Amino acid sequence: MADFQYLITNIDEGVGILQLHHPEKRNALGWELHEEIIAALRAWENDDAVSCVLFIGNEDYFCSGWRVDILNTTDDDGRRRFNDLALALMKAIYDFGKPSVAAVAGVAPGYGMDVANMCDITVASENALFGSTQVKYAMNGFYHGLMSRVGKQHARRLYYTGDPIDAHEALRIGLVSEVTPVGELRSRSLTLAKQIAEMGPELAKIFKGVALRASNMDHLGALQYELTVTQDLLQRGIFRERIARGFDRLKAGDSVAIERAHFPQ
Amino acid sequence: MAKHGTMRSEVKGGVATLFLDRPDKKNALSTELFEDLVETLSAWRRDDSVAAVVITGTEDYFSAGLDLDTMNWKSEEERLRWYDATYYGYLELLEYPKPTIAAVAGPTFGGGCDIAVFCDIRISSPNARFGFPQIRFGLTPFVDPLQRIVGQSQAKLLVLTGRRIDAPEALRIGLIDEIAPEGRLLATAQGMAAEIASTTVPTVVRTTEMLRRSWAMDPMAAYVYGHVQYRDVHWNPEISDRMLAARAKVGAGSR
Repeated sequence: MADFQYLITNIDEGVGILQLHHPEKRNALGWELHEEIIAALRAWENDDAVSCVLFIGNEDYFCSGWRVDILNTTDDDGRRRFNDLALALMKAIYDFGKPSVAAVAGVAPGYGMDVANMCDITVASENALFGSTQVKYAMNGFYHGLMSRVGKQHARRLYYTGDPIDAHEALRIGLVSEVTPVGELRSRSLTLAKQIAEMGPELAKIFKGVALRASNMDHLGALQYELTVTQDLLQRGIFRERIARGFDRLKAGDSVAIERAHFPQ
Repeated sequence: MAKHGTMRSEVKGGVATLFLDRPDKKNALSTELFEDLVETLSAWRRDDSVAAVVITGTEDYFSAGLDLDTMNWKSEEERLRWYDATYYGYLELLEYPKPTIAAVAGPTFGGGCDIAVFCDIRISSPNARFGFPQIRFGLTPFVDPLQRIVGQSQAKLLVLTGRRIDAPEALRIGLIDEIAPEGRLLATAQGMAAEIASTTVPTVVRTTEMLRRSWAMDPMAAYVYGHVQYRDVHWNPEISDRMLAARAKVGAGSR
């Protein structure tokens, strides 16, 4: 993969780690970072070494949003092109063909939170703050991403006020899936991303396809679609291999179905 | 020339033309052809010298449909590559940012007819024949966007019988938009693309996107979406300058 200026990428056990790294701007999204993230995702879309993508900053901050300095100083034409680039980036993330995890620390205002919302799952550090802060600059945050996470009421409260909420409130309303102690964000989110990547690239693409499309079908269409996906899978080599392995382990008293289950004591 | 050599292309005056080029197979569809299609089209996505794309074969044939040799798998890996190639091939057309015009002739069958259907506009020569024979093999056709183009009833008739229809019938049911004079297929399609290219390219791209996204919205959502598109382009000084220039030309206050 090409060398990036503000992005550190590597692949670890099926996880494409996409680490934003522009400390002077606390990872705010400027021209270069937009282009680099788009390029990295394009390269991973059909790379079988990647089954899941992890978006992460560091233990102190994830992404401080859109580059306010660019918005404030560029002319109309520049802002138009900047907005077009944001659309290209958001489409690349929101419609990415494999599962994605966002790992958020520190203040994630505006577009910073929006990027996380466009991923499949967000893991938050206890020091994280989320806000749809664009309204304070007379811009609109990304409502669709917010609404699909937390439902209309919480989404509208955040969208209209722009006021940030902390990690525990974010967990309560369903904006994030897990809160980790400060300093453990990378290890915990990478663990989750690796667990997702265990399915491998062939299943990753099919599962993400279902996750993206089933919610836009009526319930009968979704049933028909999802069970046809099942029938497609049942005819594949990967199914024959895994059903055999799963059955062997079940007979050995070591079921794969409950391998990470926590049983009540 | 794309990687596998299954097509040629040229760009002239804002119009890109992609010629399917497997003469020994009447442009039957292979894994390589779909991979070349994606490679060729994706290169034009952000190429400002391209406003519209014509996809064609020759004046005698467009595509006979699936290359049956493709079905001769040697491994599951090859089969999965075919699935990926077709998936991304049709997706590229479905989500293409610039208008696509299919210029078809002679046999335009099965997956070849699907390529035409996934384009925005279809022109044929008088010798064109269309059909979706998939069902005769027990294969499924794409019913969408076909049924959005010809309506449900004609779509059902075509895909459930696998029958062939000629150009006048295709024109009657709306499967094609125009029949070009004999031998003038490419010129007619390129002329139409040049007409598009002579307008305002960024707004062509925007309008193509509007046509695509509006379709999935309810009428009220499509209306607010359409009106904000209008306001946004209206703010653009380039566009207001163009309108003011037109006003100066016709003379303010006259009419």
